[in-house]
Amino acid sequence: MGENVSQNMSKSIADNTQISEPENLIPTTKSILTQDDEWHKVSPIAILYFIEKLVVGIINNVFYMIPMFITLWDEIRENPWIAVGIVGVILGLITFFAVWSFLVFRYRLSPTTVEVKSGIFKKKHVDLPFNRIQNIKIEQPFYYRLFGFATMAFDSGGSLQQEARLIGLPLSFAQSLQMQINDVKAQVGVDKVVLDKTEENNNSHIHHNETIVNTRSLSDLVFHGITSNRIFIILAGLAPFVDNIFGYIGEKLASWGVDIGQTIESESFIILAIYALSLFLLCIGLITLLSIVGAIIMFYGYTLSKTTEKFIRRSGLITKHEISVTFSRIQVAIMKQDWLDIVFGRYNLKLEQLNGQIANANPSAANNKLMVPSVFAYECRDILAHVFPLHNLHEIEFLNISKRFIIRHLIILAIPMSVLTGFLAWNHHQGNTVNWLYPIVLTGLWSGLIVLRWWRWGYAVNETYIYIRKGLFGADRYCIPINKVQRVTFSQSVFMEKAQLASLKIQLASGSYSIPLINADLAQRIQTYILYNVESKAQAWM
Amino acid sequence: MTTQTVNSDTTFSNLHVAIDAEKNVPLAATPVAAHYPITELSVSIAFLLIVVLVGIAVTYQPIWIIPETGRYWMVRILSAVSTLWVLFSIYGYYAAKKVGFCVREQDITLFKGLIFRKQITQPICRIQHIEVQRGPVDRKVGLANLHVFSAGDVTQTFVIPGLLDGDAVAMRANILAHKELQHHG
Repeated sequence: MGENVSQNMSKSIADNTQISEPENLIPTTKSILTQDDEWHKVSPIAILYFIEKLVVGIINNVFYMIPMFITLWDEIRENPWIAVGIVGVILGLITFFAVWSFLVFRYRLSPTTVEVKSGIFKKKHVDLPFNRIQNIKIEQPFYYRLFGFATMAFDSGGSLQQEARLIGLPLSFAQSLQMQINDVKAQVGVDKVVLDKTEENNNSHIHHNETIVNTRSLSDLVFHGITSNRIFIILAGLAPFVDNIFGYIGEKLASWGVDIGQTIESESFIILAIYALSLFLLCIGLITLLSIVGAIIMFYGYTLSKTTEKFIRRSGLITKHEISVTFSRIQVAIMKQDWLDIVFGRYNLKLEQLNGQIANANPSAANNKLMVPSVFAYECRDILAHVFPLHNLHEIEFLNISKRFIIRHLIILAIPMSVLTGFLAWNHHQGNTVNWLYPIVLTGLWSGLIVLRWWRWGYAVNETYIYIRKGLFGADRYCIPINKVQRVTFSQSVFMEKAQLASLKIQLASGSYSIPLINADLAQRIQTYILYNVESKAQAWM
Repeated sequence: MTTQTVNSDTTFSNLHVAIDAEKNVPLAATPVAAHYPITELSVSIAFLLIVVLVGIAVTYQPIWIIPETGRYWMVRILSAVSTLWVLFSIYGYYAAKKVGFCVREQDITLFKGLIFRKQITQPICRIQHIEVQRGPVDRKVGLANLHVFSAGDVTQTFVIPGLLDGDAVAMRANILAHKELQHHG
């Protein structure tokens, strides 16, 4: 399977060299991207953009200005001109800063990068090589449309702050720039562009090379509904009608002669307890039922199929959803298990791509998670083997982290809490003996949870993968391929150093994962090994 | 338990063979600009002074007379906050002295923390882009912050603070050059 993928990759690389062979591609189109070291201003229409941004910023912070208005309210009523003055000053300041922002805004293009300088107080210099650009958006707010201008937003697939914007370019210029940057990207390397091309090719004869990897039967979905609360899907659908529903139920109850207030006063304690318990069970039953319905709505007719380089998930009762995920973009695999899943021996297998927030900024990567609901361990093994050929997430033995984890959290969480509850108990004893039961029980519970948390936390490392297990009542197993790591943090407090312990945090494009409190020497070796692997092989992470 | 330990040991003996010790120089911290800690401290104290002055001015201004109990609490709250602030600033001063970096051929490392120490290493091949940022005070005293972004860091960004202006620019150029090399080679 792995060979298959790599063969395919090398084939697409070969294709790419063919595509990029005519090297005169850039010079033939009239090129904007020539080397000139001059910084350019944009059109003054950009002032409008800055005004819009400032106004939106002020509106978002209007909450903080409420106190000011309250204190000034009386005076404004007496003398409305103050209000006019304030609004005038604000408008003046907005215009002033917008013009100033425009005056300091500069950009520069070279054959391989776009650079943007901006900022009044905080000077910002963004330097974005074309091959890092994942997405170019051309935006036209209404005030730009009138004059044929546009804003270009370059998204580099990283954090939100690192996107570069060219504000106020003529639309035609923006479009040709977009085309030329795409050309440069296509020439420079085996980047996203190539991947997308192969995807398109596959879509055209999708049925030929697709094989079904897994399907979910109705009973699987019932299990899934019981173990994980899918009720939110239904609630989300019902949200607009919630008020009506509650009103309806209240009326019905009243018409049956049930007056809750009166019932509570008249019945004895035991009867009330039975009422409460049966109500509680009824609720649980109802919630479970709804949750099962939710699971069926979402995952009915679930099929997971694969082509040579991606998974395709199809499911849904009312609307059919289709999500496809390229193998190379999968960062992490997680076998999730809630406590009920443990009872049934099932897992929810999740394959994660880019971090959710990035996916929001970059709509093409939306639906970034692929989930296979309520599968058995052996099915996880088989599905995962397509993406991470050498993994053994389903049966790996985990090493415990240091018991110091318990002590640390007792100090941070449990001791302050027992002191607090103890103090409250002492403070409320009102002349009787102090009731120590609550503080003792609460502290005991907390400590129990901390110990459970420690017991669940495990790690294992081999040449290709880092495995982490964590959870509280449930347990989630993570499989992290070392060659996808983006950054490593080694942390060690003074106290940890004495005990020769250290913590590791491993950051991937999908998020960060930590292994707390393990042997310091081992942590360092893991860190060195990760860095060596990432740096020496420099494999693509997506 | 014993089998597990053995297991992990065999895994890691592989590791040492894999890493060529000659090629992998151990990490060592180079301190940032010598005047960075004192700059941080001054900025922090100056900010505190402004807040305290404004607070006192508001408390004792003659236009809206604040009742005696109000003044009593204002003064107490201000002094409590200032004491805490000064303590944190002093901690920050000593922590700033510990900030260091290490640029190797293949990665950049940031060292920070006085009691809770951290070593954050960013492989250069994973850098999405870099930025040199200077605040108004930084520009006055010739300091700069180097922001390094990789994929997936929405919440945590990697910033080397308090670099000498020239150093930051040189580091940026250096890293960009490295990436160029990668793509042509």
